[in-house]
Formats: sequence, structure tokens, C-alpha cells
Amino acid sequence: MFRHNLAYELKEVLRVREFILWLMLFPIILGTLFKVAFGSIYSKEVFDTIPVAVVRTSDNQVAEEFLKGLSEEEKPMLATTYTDAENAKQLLLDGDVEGILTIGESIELTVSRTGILPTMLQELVSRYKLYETVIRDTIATDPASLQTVLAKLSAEVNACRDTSPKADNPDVYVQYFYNLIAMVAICGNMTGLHVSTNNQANQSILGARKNCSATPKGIYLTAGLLGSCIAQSVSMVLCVTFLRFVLQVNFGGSLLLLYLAAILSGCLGVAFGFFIGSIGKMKHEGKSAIAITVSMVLCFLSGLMMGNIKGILAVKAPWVNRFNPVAIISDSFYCLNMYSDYRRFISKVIAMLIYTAVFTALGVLFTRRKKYESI
Amino acid sequence: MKPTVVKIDNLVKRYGELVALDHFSLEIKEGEIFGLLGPNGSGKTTTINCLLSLLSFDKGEIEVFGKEMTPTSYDIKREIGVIMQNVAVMDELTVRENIDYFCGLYIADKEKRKACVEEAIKFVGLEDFVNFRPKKLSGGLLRRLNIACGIAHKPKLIILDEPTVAVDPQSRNRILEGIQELNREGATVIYTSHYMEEVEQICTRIAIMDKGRKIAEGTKDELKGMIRNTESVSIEILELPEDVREKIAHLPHVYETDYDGTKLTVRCSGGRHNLIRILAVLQEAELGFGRVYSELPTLNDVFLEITGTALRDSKE
Amino acid sequence: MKVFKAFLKVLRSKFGAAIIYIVLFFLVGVLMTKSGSDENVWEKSKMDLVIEDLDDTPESRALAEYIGKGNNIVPAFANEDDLTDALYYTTVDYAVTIPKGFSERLAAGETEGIFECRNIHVSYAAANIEMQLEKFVNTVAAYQALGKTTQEASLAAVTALSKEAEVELLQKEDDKKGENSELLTFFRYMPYILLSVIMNTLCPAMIAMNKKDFRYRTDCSGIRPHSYTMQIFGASALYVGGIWAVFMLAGGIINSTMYTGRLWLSVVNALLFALFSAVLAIFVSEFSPSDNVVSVLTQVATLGMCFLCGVFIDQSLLGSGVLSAAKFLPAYWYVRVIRMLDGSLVYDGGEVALALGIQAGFIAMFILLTLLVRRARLTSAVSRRAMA
Repeated sequence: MFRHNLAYELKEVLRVREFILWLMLFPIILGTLFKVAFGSIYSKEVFDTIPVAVVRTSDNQVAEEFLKGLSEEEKPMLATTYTDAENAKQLLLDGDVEGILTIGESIELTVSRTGILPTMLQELVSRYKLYETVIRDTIATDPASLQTVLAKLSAEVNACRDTSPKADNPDVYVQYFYNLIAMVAICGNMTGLHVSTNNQANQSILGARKNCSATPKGIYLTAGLLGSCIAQSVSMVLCVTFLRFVLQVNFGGSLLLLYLAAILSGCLGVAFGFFIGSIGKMKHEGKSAIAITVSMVLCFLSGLMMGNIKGILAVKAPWVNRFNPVAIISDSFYCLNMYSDYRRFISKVIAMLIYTAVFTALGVLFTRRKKYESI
Repeated sequence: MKPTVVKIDNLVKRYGELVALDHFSLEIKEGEIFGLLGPNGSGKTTTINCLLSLLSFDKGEIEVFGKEMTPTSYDIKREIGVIMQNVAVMDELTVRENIDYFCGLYIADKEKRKACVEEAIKFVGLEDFVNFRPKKLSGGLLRRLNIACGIAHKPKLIILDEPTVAVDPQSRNRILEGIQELNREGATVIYTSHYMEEVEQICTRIAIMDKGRKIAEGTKDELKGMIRNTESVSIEILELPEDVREKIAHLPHVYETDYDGTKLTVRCSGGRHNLIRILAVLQEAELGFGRVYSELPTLNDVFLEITGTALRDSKE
Repeated sequence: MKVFKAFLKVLRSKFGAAIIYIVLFFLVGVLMTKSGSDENVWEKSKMDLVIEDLDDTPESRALAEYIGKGNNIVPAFANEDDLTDALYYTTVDYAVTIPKGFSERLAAGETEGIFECRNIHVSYAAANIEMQLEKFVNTVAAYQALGKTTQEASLAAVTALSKEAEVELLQKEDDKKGENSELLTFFRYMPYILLSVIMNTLCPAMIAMNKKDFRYRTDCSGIRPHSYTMQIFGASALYVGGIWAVFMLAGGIINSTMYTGRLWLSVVNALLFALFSAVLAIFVSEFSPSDNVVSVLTQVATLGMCFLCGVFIDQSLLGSGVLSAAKFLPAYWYVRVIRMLDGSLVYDGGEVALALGIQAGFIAMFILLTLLVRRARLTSAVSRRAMA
């Protein structure tokens, strides 16, 4: 009896062709767009030399040496262009250089905007000012040790020992793909919603017809949920496979566990839809609109549209991330990438399981009703 | 005496202020084709839904096959076949798959089910359409599929809720014949409709419903026996002086006359030669007349006499 | 005007849902709004930094003071994972721990790895902080070479390091960023919400109007198909205009400068985009997709367009290939206008007019496409009839 119901449930889901088509096409299209849009952003932020224009107004050997040191190191900080004041100004305004270093008595800095690169230039020029100060102090106290002092001051040091956990793929833009998978998962609510509509007498004729058959409600309800979960899992697997192997998105972490988490998240989506479908007397269309709206808000809060929202929420309202099921789903992928131990991944997976169980249980509780006030 | 299949006792169902079923009682014996006749909104479908334990009700008792009917009475449900008023099939499944699906909700055994499904397809005459999706079927064929889904598991009690709404005459006749055949094979049938001709044609016993109450019950002859009317005579006549009409009204057995300027209707109760007597009066007055009909009472007359409104008028 | 009125009535029932979307948008907007800073004077970029001082000696305190002055010090996190997340999402740029024994190692002239640092992304921000840390170590070493004790050297280093280079800010005359960046943020994200709201509410209404039976009946009536379509467009325009008006009203309440000077252009810009959303919704509805397909399609269209055109991610970050593809989408031109208004791009009246004109062109194109699809369908029906 159960197998019969499950078989037909699967047949039914698979035959809703245009819907299935879209459910599969959706991550493919958006994933491709994401890949095109974000594919090369992260590398742009990777450290590079800063282009500057240098203008000499008087002879300053110390300053020349200082700049030479910065632009001829093994990993140079500056890419210098020596030119005259007029041309330098033009280069700056055209955005070809980040700043103008004018060598006179000292080094003066001119920039065209605020931001991190101009700030670094300021930092470099401040370092020159520091040299001046230290030299002045040295000459005042112990001129003989000037060489030693300067050597100490410009010594190459490696003071920072990196102790941070290393992500397999530090590219922060990969989280858009995490959220894309999470969105496909939460869209499983559409199939879940159908399960509760098709099995309740007051929601559909089909539900009424099934309710008066000789099969207990528990059986076709379970079959329906399982069938939806299977269908959703298939689309999750396809989605991850496409992103990983066709678009070559590097998710980081164990791929097997990623598939597992994706499948589980698909079931969470189905359970979510089932839950929404089981509350209240509203008809299918209304519930569907609610489910989609809620899903999109949750996706937004998880960073599907703006990647930094999760970080902002972590500071301003950390409970949102902790309770938002979509954030939990995308976090589970992130944890696989970020942490080599599975402690946090497991906690996210447990949270997903709890959500799935609670949504299903509440859904069953509400649909369990055998008789209806009105149909 | 045949055993009772369905027993409804003092059923009351309210939707807020509206009383949908008002102390409704019913008893249906094995082997009957029981007709529930009434205008739309009279409570037929509500009765069926209560009987199927889909709806909760405020008062009363329902027994099927001598046992109390509850939502979990699966042994009872196994013996019931339901054909709902609205077609309840899955658009994504083919004709055969739909029948197999619904049949599978009753019969677990695959071999047995296969035979049942084939039989049902043949029974409703959908052999040429087994691989069609419901959306490709015409209204009549869709109704037949709906019926096949309800009867494939060979139930002992078949409930049909207005199965012929919006069906072409050909399909309708096929459906009605089919119901009679199922009945001959041993099934008890509950049939609801607002088409009295259908009910008259196939039902062995009939209950007439109006506003949630049962207003009459019996075989069609018993029902007709409840009213005075035994014969209605209609005469097309363009001119009818008042004195002639008076004369007709005072003939024996005549209890009511109606004249609308073109047609005279005379209702009689009992008597054998009513038509001849009426025509004799007209001849005597040397009045010309057109066509003449004499009709036996219909269920519409029964409804009309009991409720004061015609069944047809209260449609929709 | 019967169709016009009937369609407006259908749409009226959708307006409530649209308002819910809009309210949500504003709530999120309030959450997202950061106080815009005045960008016409030089201000160095401060890094968000977590410092944990386990050594707690005068030396380490001197360092913390120096680093703290030029950066935003973020309070330490309750647990390591939260810190890791914050580093990943770049709410914190860098975390540095001054381990126990720091001052002794400094005194001994050890420099290698004396700070424990955490950062996840290779970034200028991290490099900048490492530079600052190493500068401190070097300066202390230099003063030690002058014969100062480590403690004295640390204090002297802080003094020496606190002298910052002055920076001159050279900008083009009309390159000055307005105080309106907050308001323009509001406009920047508007394409997403406009498209979502309008597609999600207009499509179901249109699909109801396009239902086979309803459509056949309309086709049988005396009304000309052209007039029918135009009335639909008219009613949609009115509905969309209503939604747009709600936005503008709310925007005006947030910031009344919206209706001054050049900023009027962003108001017009938003209206054009709203109308584009409407014609796109009508066009999609011509193909009578099911409810589920509409919602999936809406997601693809809105998210795809917004990502490609730089609604969510700044256009300056997107590759040139992406941007040249985005030119075929109206949202690109919408964002371009906003960027010219907020100073990210050089303002050019002609270019703004071009961008607005292109959006109007997209609207006209989709109206034409819709009419074509309708006509094609009608003629195919006629030819079928002729064949039969």
C-alpha cells in the first residue's frame, strides 16, 4: 500500500514537466550568471602593487632611497612612474595612479579619493616621516649609531604569525553559491505544499477523495512527503553537481558531506512547505504566495542578494542567523569549507534535522484532523 | 428482509447560522438503488460527506454495514466506492494510471488489482483512451474516468454524487446503464441528482430533500401515491370563456384548473375518463382547440405539491 | 474602457500583497542604512580590528594604544567561531593577539612571529595592519639600538609613530560626492524590489485575464485586440504608477532632498524602471505559465538581472565582459544613472539622457513584442479556422 502510493507520488511529481524543468533550470541559469558575475571579483582584491606617480621638486637622497626600497623589494609595494607635476595630476584624475608622491624636503602625498589604497599610501609616507623623526632623535642622542638604528628600522621582519583557521576556498563570493543552493532547497516548499493540499479534504477534491478511501491518511501522507523529498533530493544533487563540475565552483571541504547537507536541506524545504500548507483554511494559491515570500525574505537575510548582510546581522541581531533556516543551510556549507573539524557542521546539520522534524511534526499535527468543519 | 446497508439517524449539520441538515434520517437496504433527489443546496452533498466521515456533524448517528462510521473505519471504507461531484483525478497521470492509483488505495494485491483496473476500463468504455491524460478527455469521458476510479475495486456500496452533471446524452445513458449493471451485480447504490428523470429511470427507492430536510421517501409509485394528482390534462386553446372553465372545474375528480391564455391545464385525482369528459365540455361549447396531452404525475409534481415550488425552478 | 476598469479591479486585490513587499523592503533598508560620511575631506580608512592583549605589560599596552588610535577596535568575541565568521564576512578585517611573554621577546630582539594574527582573506586591509604592526616592532628595535630600555623604546615609538603624513585630496570639480548617498542607496536597490513586486502581483492578474475561456470570450466580443491590449497596458501603468508613488512618498519622508536638483532624475529613473517591470510582467504572462513557474521565473529574472547589472554588487567590481553583456539589460542603465548621480561616475547630462532613453526603448520594445505575440496568436487561430 505504501509502495503503491510512493510510486504514484513520484510519477506525479516527475510528470509536472514544466515545473521540474524550471526547478532544475533555475540553479543552472542563476549559477551561470553568478559564475560570470563573481568569477573574477575575489582575485581583484588580492594584494597587488599600488601604482603611484612620483614628482621630484628637489634632490632628496634619503627619500629616493626610501621609495626605491619600496618599489624594488622582492614583493614591491609600489609601482612608480616618475613624471612632472602636471602629468602626475592628470594621471591621478584619470585614475591611472592611486596617488602622487612629491619628493621635496620631505615626501608629500596627494590622492583623489578616500579608501584603503590611499590609506596605505599614507601609511607608507608616514613611515618616511617616522624615519625622519628617528634620524633626528638619533642625531640628537647618539649620531654614531645612526647606521645601526637605520638598519633596525628598515629591517625586514615577519612579526605576524598567522594562526587563523584556513578556509579551503577563502573566496567570499562562494557564499553566493551556498545561498543559491539554499534557495533551491527552500524552494522545495512548492512540492511540500502540494503534499498537504492534495491530502486534505478541505483543500482539494483529490484530498477529499483520498480521505474517504480505505488507505489510512498516515500512509499516503508519508508516501507524499517521502516522494517529494526524493524528487527534491534529485534536484539538489543535480544542482550541486552542475555548480561543482560544470561551473567548477570550488566549495571547499568534503564534497560528499556537501551533497549530504544539500539533500538534507532539500528535505527541510519540503517540510517547510508541508508545514505552511497545513496551517489554516486558506487555499493553495494564497499559501503558495506566503511560502514564496517568506522564503525570499529568509534568503535575503541569509545573504542571497547582499553577501554582507549575514555579517551585519551577526553583529546587530545574531539570533536571526541562528534561527533562519536558510542561513543554517548555507552556513552548513560554509562550515565545511571553513573548519577542518566537523563540530560546527554537525551542529548545523542537527539544526536542519530539528527544523525538518518540527515542521513535519507540526504539519502532521495540523493535517491529522480526520473530519472537517466544512469542505 | 434484506439487511440495512446505511442508516442515518437524526443527522444535524450547521454551517454557522445555516442549518444544512435538519434532523435528517435515512435507511438504505442492500441491493437498492437509492435516489437522493433535491434542488441544489438542499443538502445532498453534505449528507454524502457526513456519511463518508469527511465532515463533522453536530448531532446524529451514522452506521454503515451495521457498524458506526468513523474516519478510521477502513474495513467499512474498503467496501465503499465514491464518485464525487467534482472530478477527482490527477492531471499528471494517464487514464489507466489514475484508475490503478485509486484502486490501489483499496486493493494491495498487484495481480488482483490489474484485473480490476482492466475490468473498470472496459466497464466505462475507455479502452481507446487508456494512455490519455485527463486534460485531453472530453467532459463525458472525464466523468466516466471519475466513475471508473470509484468502482474499480468492486465496492459493495457505491455512492454517486451527481455523476451526470454536464455530460452529453450518450455518456449519460451509458453511465445510467452502468449503474444499473453494477446494481445487478450486487452493489447497493446511493445516487444523488437534481434530474428527476434520471432518478425515476433507475432508482428503486427515492428520498426527496429540500432545505436540509427529507420531505418524502418511497418508491416512485409510493411517492406519486402520496399526492392527489393522478393525471394532468393540457389543452392548447386560444379562447376560453369563464363559464366553460367553471364547468370544467366542476367536473368530477378535477381539483385544479390553470389557464394562461394559450393553454389550459387541468389536474385530476383519480377517475378514468377525465380527458373524454373535458373534451366533451369543450365540444359542447363549440370551442376549437389544438394539441391535447394527458400526463401521469412526475416527481416534479410530487415536489411541487409538497413544497409549493417546482423542482426545476429552484435549480441553481 | 470596460477592460481597463475590470483589470484595475483585479489588480486592486493584489495591491495589499504589494504593500507587504514594500514594507519589508523599507524595514530591511533601515537595517542596512549606514551613516554616510562626508567624502570631500581626507579621512583615512580605518580597519575593524580585534586586539587581545594577553601580555598586559607597558610595552603591549603602548602597542595597543598605537594600533587602536588609527583603527576601529572591535570588542573581543565570546568564542573563536564567531571571530572566524566575522573575519570571513569581513565585519572584522583582522584579529591580533599579543601573546604572553611579548615584552621579554621584544627586549631580546626577537621579532619573528611575535604576534598571533588571524585573517582569512588576503586583502589590503590585512596588509595595512601587518605593516603597522611591523613598523612598531622596527621602531622599538631602532630606539633600543639607541640604548633605551624596551619600555622607554615602546613609548618613544608610539610618539614617533603618531606623526602621520598629511594628505592632500585632489578631486575634479563635479566629482564631489553628495550627501545623498543614503538616499541613493535607497534607489540603488530599488530595481530588485520593483521587479519582484510587480512581477509577483501583475503576472497572476494578467494570467487570470489571459485564461483560455476568458480570452476566447473577449476575442469574440466587439473589442479590437489592439484596444484590449492598450487598455491592459493602461491599467497596468496606473497600478505600477501607484506602487511607484508609494515608494517616492516613503523616500520623500525619509529624505526630503529627493525632490531637489539633479535628484529628480532618480525619481524619473525609478518610474521608467517600474514601467519596464510592468511590460516585462505582461510579456511573460502572454505565455500563460503556471503559478509555480511564474515564481521561479521571477526569481531568475530579478536575481539574474540585479546581479549582472550591479544592483547588489557595485558595477566597479564586475568584470568588463559582464558589464558589456549587462548593457543589454535595462537595470544596467538604471544603475548607471544612479552611479552618475552619486558621483561614482562623472556626471554627464547627455549620458543620463541616453540611459533614460534606452530604458524607455526597452519599454517600447516589450510593448511591441507583446503586441506581436498577441497578433501571431490571433492569426494562427484564424488560419486554423481557415484550414478547418
